[in-house]
Amino acid sequence: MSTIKVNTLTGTTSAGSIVVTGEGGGETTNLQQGLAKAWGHFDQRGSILGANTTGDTFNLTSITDVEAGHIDVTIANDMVNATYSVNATTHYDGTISNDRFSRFVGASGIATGSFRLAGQYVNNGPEDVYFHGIVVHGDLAE
Amino acid sequence: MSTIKVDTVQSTGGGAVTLTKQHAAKSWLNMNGTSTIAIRDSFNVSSIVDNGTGNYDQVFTNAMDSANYSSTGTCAHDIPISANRDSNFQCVAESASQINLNIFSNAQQDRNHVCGQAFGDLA
Repeated sequence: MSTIKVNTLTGTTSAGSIVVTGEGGGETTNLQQGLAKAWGHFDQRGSILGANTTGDTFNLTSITDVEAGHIDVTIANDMVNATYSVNATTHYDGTISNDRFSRFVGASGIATGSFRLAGQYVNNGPEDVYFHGIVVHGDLAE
Repeated sequence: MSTIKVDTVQSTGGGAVTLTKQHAAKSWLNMNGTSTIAIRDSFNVSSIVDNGTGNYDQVFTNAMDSANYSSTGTCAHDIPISANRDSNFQCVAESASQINLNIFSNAQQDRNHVCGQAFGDLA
């Protein structure tokens, strides 16, 4: 086994593109494309972190309460376009005692530096929820 | 500070290199699932298939090693952005080569913003 210890990896042909071999050895993948460009979690309801409190984040400037179930997420270093992929998961309040109370969420208003998430229990039924996973994949701006 | 400039990274045996405590996504997708469906942006996605209202397949360019990988996603209607028309959304690892995306809101429904990601081992 060999180990390289280094602080920065940069592509030679293209600075932002490094190919790595997949686990099975038969396929390759692009390292930069696979890395999450932002992530975070946010307690809107307030049972875990406190109402409208942001937990750990990466490359996010802010997460803001808009109205019941709706939050706006602002990205620190912007994406290159507004066609990136957003994923999020929600729960009623994040507590074990209410573990059966699932909620669903959708992303909209996707822009290079922000997007909106709406959590609700039925269609047209938004309510404050616990956003326990917010993840962005795509290309960062230059 | 040290920098290595390289195009390809492999283990000494020519296989997958270990990135300490890091696992990159093997695929991600942003697609329009209404009318004539279309990929807005993607990584490791060769095509999408419209199986009918609210049901799509996401086909990988480079396949996974099994159907045991993790797949997640989010969908939303978008106009206006405050419209409360989100839906129950399932991402099912149908096979090593594709994910099935299914949207249900009282009935099968198409959505404008459909996003998905896959994590696991490549073939």
